[in-house]
Amino acid sequence: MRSVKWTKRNSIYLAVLLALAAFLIYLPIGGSRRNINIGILVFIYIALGQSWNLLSGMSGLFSIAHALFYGIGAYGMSLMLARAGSNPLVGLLVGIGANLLVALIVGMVGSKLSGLYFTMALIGIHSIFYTLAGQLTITGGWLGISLPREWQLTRKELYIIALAIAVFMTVLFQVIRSSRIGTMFVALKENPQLAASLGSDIRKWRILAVLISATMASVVGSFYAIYMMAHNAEVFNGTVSLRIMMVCMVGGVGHIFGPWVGSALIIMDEYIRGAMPTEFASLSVVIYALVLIVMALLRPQGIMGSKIFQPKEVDVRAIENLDAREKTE
Amino acid sequence: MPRCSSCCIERGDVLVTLTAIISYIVNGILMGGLYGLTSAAWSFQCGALKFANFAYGACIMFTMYLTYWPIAMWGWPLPLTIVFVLAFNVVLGWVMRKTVLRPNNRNTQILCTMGLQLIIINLANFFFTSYPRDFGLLEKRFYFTENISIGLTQLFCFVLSGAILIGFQLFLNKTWTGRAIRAVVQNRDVASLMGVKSERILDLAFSISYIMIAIAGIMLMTMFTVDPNFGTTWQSYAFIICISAGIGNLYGAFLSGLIIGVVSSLIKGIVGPFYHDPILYAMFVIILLLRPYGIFNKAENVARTI
Repeated sequence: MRSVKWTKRNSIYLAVLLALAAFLIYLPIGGSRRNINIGILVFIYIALGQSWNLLSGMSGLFSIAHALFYGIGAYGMSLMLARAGSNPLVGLLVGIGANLLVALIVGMVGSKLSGLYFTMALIGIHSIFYTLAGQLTITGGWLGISLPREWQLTRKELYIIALAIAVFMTVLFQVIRSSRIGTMFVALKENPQLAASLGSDIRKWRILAVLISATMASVVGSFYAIYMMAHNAEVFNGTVSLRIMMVCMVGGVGHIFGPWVGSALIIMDEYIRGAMPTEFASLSVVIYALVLIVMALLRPQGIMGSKIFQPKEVDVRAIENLDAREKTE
Repeated sequence: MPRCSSCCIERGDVLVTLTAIISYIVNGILMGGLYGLTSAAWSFQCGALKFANFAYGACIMFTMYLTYWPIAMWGWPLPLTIVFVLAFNVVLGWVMRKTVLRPNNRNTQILCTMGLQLIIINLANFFFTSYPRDFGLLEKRFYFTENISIGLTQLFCFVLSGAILIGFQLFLNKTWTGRAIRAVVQNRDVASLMGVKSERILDLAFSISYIMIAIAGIMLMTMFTVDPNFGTTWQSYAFIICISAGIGNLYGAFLSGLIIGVVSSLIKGIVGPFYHDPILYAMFVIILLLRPYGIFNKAENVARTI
């Protein structure tokens, strides 16, 4: 057995982690209101990014309209609180339940036939919900829906909840990745034919991936409803989906710290939009899309996919040779 | 969306109801021709050439602006504008093929073309402003009875889209270039062995499919009001039509376009435009669940390869 050596790289990781933790603890105490808000937004996108990462990065089902699950979670919470007058826990559960139902349909369609049909089913169902949420009277139409004030939390509490959600999603991603389920997901992404020939049920695992990812996004959506206290159908907007994809694409698809690194883009975007006059607002989306195209074409593996972040490749044959030489000596 | 169909259903009057429904169906068929043409172009790109082009609706929208702007703002003559629009679209198709559609990985293609779509929409928003634009042509209508009428522009566009589709199919079947395109689509390696430059043929085929988009855009501009988000609706309709017909089936796409045209016209007339999109998308999801390989395709294997 070879023991794990404490390398220089590990100490750099530890230092970065400690600095990050110190900053995240300092922010709610010493930061301004605006910075706390940006922090909450960043955590929201990190958690959503992990959800997308699980579905698209790990299991290879390309989710183009991830705002669907997020929006349903948000509406589950806000409808329950504002219209039915129940408590946040019920709202959270209703959001998750609705999401599981939708995810089941999406998964059924998407797993029946390959890739493009999954995307199509998602786009179709997303359009249904987007249109209905903007038109029905119960959702308040485009004016939106506002939550009763009794559930309003302070910025610091919201910040802590958001941080907890982001950390929890990251841990959940790692747990799933290292479990048997995660191995199955990766196998289905890398080589579906081989996985099927080895006896794994492709449909079952793909539907499971959609279900887990939808649940994760739903929790974040419910939190968003509590955080904003009022929202309209724009939670289904394509820009949300685009940002989720951006966060993962820039950071690194399928990498656990991909969304954490990629969320720097959200911070950048918030500050740029704050500084820019409003008539150039549409140009910020152009910049986003350009970054997306360039990253997808030139660096599809993202920042965390770079060589310096990869663990050193250990050649098995070299170890065997070493052992053989030790024996002969 | 059709301009006429102002006739509304009055309860108790069977004759009026009947004529109204016939009127919806006639107008739906005429609209369906345009749906058919736009989705046949997408079906060719995505099904035959395997380029998942999600910037397709935005390109139609941009073509419409490029038709409107020179004629209404700069006073260009119509033939010059048509030549300009065709040339622009062919170049756009070629550039897209060389940049965003270069990798064969479908997910990368979807991501890049989606990014391109956002760029085009927001640039149109910035330069042309989101104010809706319209030629304001008064359409001549041909009346069969008091309630049933068809617009002459609509009829002309319907005939033209049918003719273009038949012409395109003839081009694929009869000419050397068309046969080369089909050969490359079926088996790229063997086609290369037979002396076909497969990459160049794919470039060419993609540019040609953009000619169809250009013509569709010009025809749409004569009938509709354009705004930067116009293309997204048409792109979704093209998805619905292609999937329900079976991807890659051009005549099927046209037929399915007619069906969707009639259905959407009936929904708008009877249920109301409010629930038009949700009902249409729900039908689409049901078709995906029940017959994912398409209504007009028999072999299940067609869809599995995409």
